[in-house]
Amino acid sequence: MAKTKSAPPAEAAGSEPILRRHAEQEFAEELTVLREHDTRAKPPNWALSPWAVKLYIVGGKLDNGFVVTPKYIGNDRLMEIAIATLATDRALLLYGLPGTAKSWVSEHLAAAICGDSTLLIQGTAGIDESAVRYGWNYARLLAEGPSVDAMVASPMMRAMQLGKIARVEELTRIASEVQDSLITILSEKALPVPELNMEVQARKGFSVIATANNRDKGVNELSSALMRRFNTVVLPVPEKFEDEVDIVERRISQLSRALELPAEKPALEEIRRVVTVFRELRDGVTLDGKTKLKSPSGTLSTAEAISVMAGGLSMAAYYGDGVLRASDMAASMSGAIVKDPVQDVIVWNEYLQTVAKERDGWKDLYRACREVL
Amino acid sequence: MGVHVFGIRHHGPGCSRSLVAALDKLAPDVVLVEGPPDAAAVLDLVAHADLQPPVAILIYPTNDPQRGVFYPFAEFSPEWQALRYAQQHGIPVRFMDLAQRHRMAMEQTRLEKLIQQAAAEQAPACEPNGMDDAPGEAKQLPSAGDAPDGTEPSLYDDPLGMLAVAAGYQDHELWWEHQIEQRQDPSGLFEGILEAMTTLRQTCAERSEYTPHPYEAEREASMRQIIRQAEKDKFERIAVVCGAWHAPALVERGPAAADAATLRNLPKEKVEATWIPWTYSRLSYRSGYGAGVRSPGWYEHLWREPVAAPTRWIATAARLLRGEDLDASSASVIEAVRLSTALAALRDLPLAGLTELNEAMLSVLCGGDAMPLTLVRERLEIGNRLGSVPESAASVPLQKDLEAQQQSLRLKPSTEIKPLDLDLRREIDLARSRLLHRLNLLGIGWGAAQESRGKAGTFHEIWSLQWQVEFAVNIIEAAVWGNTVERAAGAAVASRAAGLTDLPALTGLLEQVLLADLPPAVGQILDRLQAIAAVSADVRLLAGALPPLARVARYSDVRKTDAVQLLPVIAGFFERITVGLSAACTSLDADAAGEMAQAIDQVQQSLDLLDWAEYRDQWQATLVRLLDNDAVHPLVRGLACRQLLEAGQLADQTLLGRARLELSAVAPPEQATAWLQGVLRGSGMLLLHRDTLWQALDAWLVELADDAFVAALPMVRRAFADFSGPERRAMGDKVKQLSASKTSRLDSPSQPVVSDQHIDRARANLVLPVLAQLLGVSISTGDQHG
Repeated sequence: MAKTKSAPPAEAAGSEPILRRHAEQEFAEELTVLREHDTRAKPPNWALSPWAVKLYIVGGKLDNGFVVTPKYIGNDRLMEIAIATLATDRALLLYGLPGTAKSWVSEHLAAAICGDSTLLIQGTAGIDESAVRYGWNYARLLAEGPSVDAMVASPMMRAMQLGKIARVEELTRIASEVQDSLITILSEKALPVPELNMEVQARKGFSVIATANNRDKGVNELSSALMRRFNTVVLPVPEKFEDEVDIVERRISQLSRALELPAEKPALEEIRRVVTVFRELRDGVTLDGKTKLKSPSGTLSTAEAISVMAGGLSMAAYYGDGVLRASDMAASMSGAIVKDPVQDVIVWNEYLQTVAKERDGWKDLYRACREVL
Repeated sequence: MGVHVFGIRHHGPGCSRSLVAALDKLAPDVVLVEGPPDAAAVLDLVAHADLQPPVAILIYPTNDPQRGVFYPFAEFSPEWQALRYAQQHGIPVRFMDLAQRHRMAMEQTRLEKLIQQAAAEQAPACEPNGMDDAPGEAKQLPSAGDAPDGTEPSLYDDPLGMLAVAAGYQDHELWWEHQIEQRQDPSGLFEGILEAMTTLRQTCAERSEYTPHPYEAEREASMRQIIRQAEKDKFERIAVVCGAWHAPALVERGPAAADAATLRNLPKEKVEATWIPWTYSRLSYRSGYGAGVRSPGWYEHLWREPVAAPTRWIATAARLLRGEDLDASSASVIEAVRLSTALAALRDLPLAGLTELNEAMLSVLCGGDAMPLTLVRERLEIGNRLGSVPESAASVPLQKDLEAQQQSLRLKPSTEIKPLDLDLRREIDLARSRLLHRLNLLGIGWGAAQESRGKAGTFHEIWSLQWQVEFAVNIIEAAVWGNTVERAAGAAVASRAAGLTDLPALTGLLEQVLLADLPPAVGQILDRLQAIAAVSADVRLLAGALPPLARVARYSDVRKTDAVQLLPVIAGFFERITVGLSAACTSLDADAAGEMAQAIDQVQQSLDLLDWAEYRDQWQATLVRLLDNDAVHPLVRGLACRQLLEAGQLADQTLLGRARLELSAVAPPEQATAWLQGVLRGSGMLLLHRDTLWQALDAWLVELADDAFVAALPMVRRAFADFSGPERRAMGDKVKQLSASKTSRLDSPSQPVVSDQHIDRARANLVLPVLAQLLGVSISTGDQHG
């Protein structure tokens, strides 16, 4: 991270250098320009119209030539569903594997719709109702008795009062009884405060974006009552092979610079092989669509493909000849694939025997992987 | 009043509705429909109560039914509505397309020419004379035989695609749906279509890359001539219903002489027409009316529910999901409708279409899970409606093909039960067997195969034949699959195979298909087998599927099946079994272990049958790994021992060692007996001939404590229960001699112990020559030994 220590970007001059800025700060210019050129109807309390929000998310060009960078690369229609959901004041649940840009999309949607992505509840097993509803400032509560001033509003409550978007990260990690307190908020759009004999009613524009991943074990399954109050959008892993190769390649060259590995940039061919293996195992079918395969228990996300490549690179740099070879990757690749010591070994073995063995130019990979198994 | 041309899209419900409204307004005295005039004779049946869409007009050359063409009609097809309108109002209706009797003959000539050309091109390398042909036509050549009809390539069926692209749509269907089908106000629709098409045709004519449809000139000439004929017949208000593309050509009719010239001297062949029942799933096939419909069920819904179609669609889908025990509350229905409306608004559409509805249902009703949506796709979007035709409809080509085969094979249908004995070495009997098997695959159970008894098995097949009257209906139903028995059976099997997911069912089907001799279907089933095997985690199923495959691969000769394509599949199965076997054999209870033992037996049988050295070694290595694995059920370990022993891969000493370990006093008696059961596998021969095993068993029994012995006894008995009488007797004898020969046994373990004392040498010598002759050895000069 040595490089980020250099002078902060011009527009942030004067403020403290921050490691990561919020979406609405980072893309303030785009949001401003979009707002200026937005002529279509806005739902109440929205900063932008749904069309402008979509443009902000998927990227594009304004009539005056201003280029909006794409925030989400993938299926535009999914983003349309997400935006339409929020426009109908329904809550949105972004569901998907780890590493499919759920939180990223949620942050940008909130930034574009209400200009504020900070009304955030980070879901953990440890949070209690006060994180979703409200808590008390106990010193004041003791001194003055129950009053509005002694109340500590949660981000959810503030979003309701302001008519903004509240974000809930990792919804499935929150204990079920705390999840349940969301039900009233989502259906009645109101939050009763019995201690003060009052309630907070949401202003127009209020909605909730929750994210959850559907792969983790030991999470709190959403009750069907809660599920019913969300529109669910499943974010998929990269659809196109070339997209995924592209993502891995970019990320790897950044990484190897950051880690200052004395190894050569990996050949595109190696990246393609790793991505091929991951995609085939993940999809349960070979890329040519001819052979079906079993899928291992792990996710095999793009992020893992990146770490396999990074592991291979450092092996090549420190213990190899500086050039990434199949043998450098074999161990980390097997490690990424074999998460369950019994079933996954079978899957991986079958893959090697029935697919890798026969493939032209894959002999080295096949042998290296057989060795580490 | 003159001629009114209505350009429509085939099977467009929006078009249908507008057309009915327009016809009501016009009140024509004759309706001309784009369709084959050859079918004029069967048009009367439209009025018949039993003719329920979806149905299709089938037109086929009398002498070659295989080249039949289908013209499907659904309730929402504009053509069907036009026919119904004419029939309800008692006005004449005529088909006006180029008659198929010409078209089929022309197509045949063209194909023959192309085949000649292709042959000519292949012989001398790259003669450029083929370059003048449209690439689309050249590509069609290999598939010409497969396509049920042989119509135009799809690009030309969809000239509207150009308009859709111009409007910024990638999906042509979607564009048409948004622009035409979802139109709320039908007035001016046909004028609009006509105008658009006129412009489009002009542009196309100017562009050099556009190649007109094959026979387009002839078809339109024919349509114009028939319109002129109607005018000549003094009809006053003529309604013309045709594909949108043809509309401009029918409005500007030009001089009659040119059309007459085009239609002069066309080749001709005899064709026949009939109605056959159709299904929605087959409506999506390309056929006589060009491109199929992707979502017939949705179109029917649009046709039947003009008001609030999206809401009703989601409500129907919710009912379907509820029927399948999936959550779909009314509140969710409301939210799904809201979301679909919002999506339509975001996409600037007047009304939510199928895409929006699906996306909304996925998001709200299904919680992002696409599986329930496939149910909606299959049951609602496509739908399973099956049409019906009156019995008076003429017979289908399949029927004719069957009759022809019955005649040539001298098999007369009779309602009596008749036995039939086929000797497959005779050509005619082989063909008969094939026919019967194929009919069975089509669900026409004319013959039932009987167990063949007595006569040497593989060449003989015993059948019992009985024709039933209902078969006529079955044949009509089966006719959707193809026009000959062979082709129909192939297509039916392929479709059935695509729906099967369990291995034994697939291999069973494969065996039937091999019997019916349908090579293309074999390939499809093999692909399917491989796909299923890849995801199947159950070694037992894989093993169960192996023996039939191995049998076919080994004994393919009688029916001359091509076994080569089976081999890679079998190899794949072996690979998967050897990889998964040890994991599959661990932590089993007694029942599961029994099944697993059977599976191992099956693999062993198949291997023995195929005799592949490479896989045998691999298999034996896998079995050896089982021996030492304590987590493996003892029954399976015992069986592995047995298999290795039979393969000569287990030395006597190793066996003794293993037996001592397995039967040691520490091992619980039930495990020891299970192991014993595995080794013996119901046959005492091993015990009789392997003294090491005998001794180990003996030692184990002796060492058992009294109460343990009592406990183990029933299980030991069970292990011995399947032994045959002679085996038991031999064992009894052996036990008797046990004490006497115990000492000598270890020196020569496998020699039978015979004592010299009771032999009368003189008498024994008498039998020696005969014995020698039987064994084919010569005796050494009268010298004898014991």
